[in-house]
Amino acid sequence: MPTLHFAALLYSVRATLSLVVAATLSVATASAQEQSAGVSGKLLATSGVSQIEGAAGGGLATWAVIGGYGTVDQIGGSAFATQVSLDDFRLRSSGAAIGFYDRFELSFAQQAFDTKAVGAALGLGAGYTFRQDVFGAKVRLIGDAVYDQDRWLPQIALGLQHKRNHNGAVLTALGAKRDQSTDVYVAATKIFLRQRLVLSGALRFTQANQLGILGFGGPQGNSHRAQVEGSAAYLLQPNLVLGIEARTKRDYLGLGEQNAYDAFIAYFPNKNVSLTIAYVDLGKIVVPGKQRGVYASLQFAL
Amino acid sequence: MLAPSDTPTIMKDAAVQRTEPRSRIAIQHTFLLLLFAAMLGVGTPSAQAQQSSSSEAALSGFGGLEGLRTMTNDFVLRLQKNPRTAPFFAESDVPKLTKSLTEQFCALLGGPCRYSGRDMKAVHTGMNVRTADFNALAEELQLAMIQAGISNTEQYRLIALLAPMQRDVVGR
Repeated sequence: MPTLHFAALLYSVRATLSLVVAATLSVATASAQEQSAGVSGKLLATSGVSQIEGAAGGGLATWAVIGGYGTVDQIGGSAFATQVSLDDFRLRSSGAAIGFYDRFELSFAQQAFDTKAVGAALGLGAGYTFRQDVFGAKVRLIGDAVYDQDRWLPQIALGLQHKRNHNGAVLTALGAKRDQSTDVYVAATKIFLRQRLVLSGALRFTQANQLGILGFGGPQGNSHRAQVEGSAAYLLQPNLVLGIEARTKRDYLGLGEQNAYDAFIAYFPNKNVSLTIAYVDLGKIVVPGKQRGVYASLQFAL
Repeated sequence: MLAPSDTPTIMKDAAVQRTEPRSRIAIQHTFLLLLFAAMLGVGTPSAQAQQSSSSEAALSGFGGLEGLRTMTNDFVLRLQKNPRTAPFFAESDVPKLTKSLTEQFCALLGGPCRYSGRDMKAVHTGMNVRTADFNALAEELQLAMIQAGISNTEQYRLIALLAPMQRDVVGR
């Protein structure tokens, strides 16, 4: 038990540190860019929130928008902390993203997946926690999700997420082939202002088991396969967005992995902070039954 | 940060639902249906822009031409106050700019007006307007519309019509 508490403490210290570092970095870069006048940048909520792997997006799905409120002339950034409390597990993710000139995005996220009582049942020990680091990069290729209201063309971005899982030995025991891998994705996002809708879709080439938390590849296959992510959101008012998301996953481990879904509400009281609450269904994760629960995410942005 | 919470009450409901495979499938289908419906529900942007006919009714959401003029006047005053937009509008003749912008908004919304001002590219050439300045203007317009009690639907309608002008206004 004391070890567990220590691990949790260590985790929250690390998470807090990464938030502070990111926020400081963002403030420094933004203030350097914004000497002329007060805060402005992109329009409220148009850079999305931080998705579970750290990129700008919805909650589960990755979007083509660039994180932070920096415009083509500015550098912006964001930092986030997310907790997903599931039936049998708890997933925490925290990290930061820097957006350069509304063109490039670099992101980082560290994920901790607490197996709680299931860990003991699997012989790993109660509260056994899988940890993964995700290093992301994204480039906007074409289109503008906000200004191109007279065109069909969405904003399109190409990105990658390099994932490093820290639990190699256990992953091997589970049947996973690798403990690190890189996802590559193409995302298309369009904001239909007139209809007050945000539609986004992404095609992700991945070999991940449960986003990589349970490693990569397995007895059922080891190649990168295309998975689909989609979000549909409604702009209730400028600072309040309601939406649903879906993300397909593949069962490489033969443990019955299923697709993930969520329904979210995101509140943007101002450009510096947003709060996203969602009801998520991550499908089956090792133990029988679907893992459902509450997703809560706090983001700071500039 | 977020306090860790073990099994909040909402999870107990979820645990009950887990035993009903039918409701699970229903939830998944609802998701996919909603996604699909949302995609179908989106019309061609250009078609939407042309949809409103030239009539007084097009301005009803703005309180008619008079309501639109009042809102625009407030908007112009805001532009002169906001430090981001002030440099571009400090010298502007308020009644003249209000008249011109009202005319432009009215025409865009499909109202009984014709914009007689210069085209957007010509007006902004040499001004070196940045995207952040353009957005600051959009934000002031939004505030003016909120102040005038204009509905969210009508606010988004005007913003959607103005958004593509970013290309003509910025970086000239």
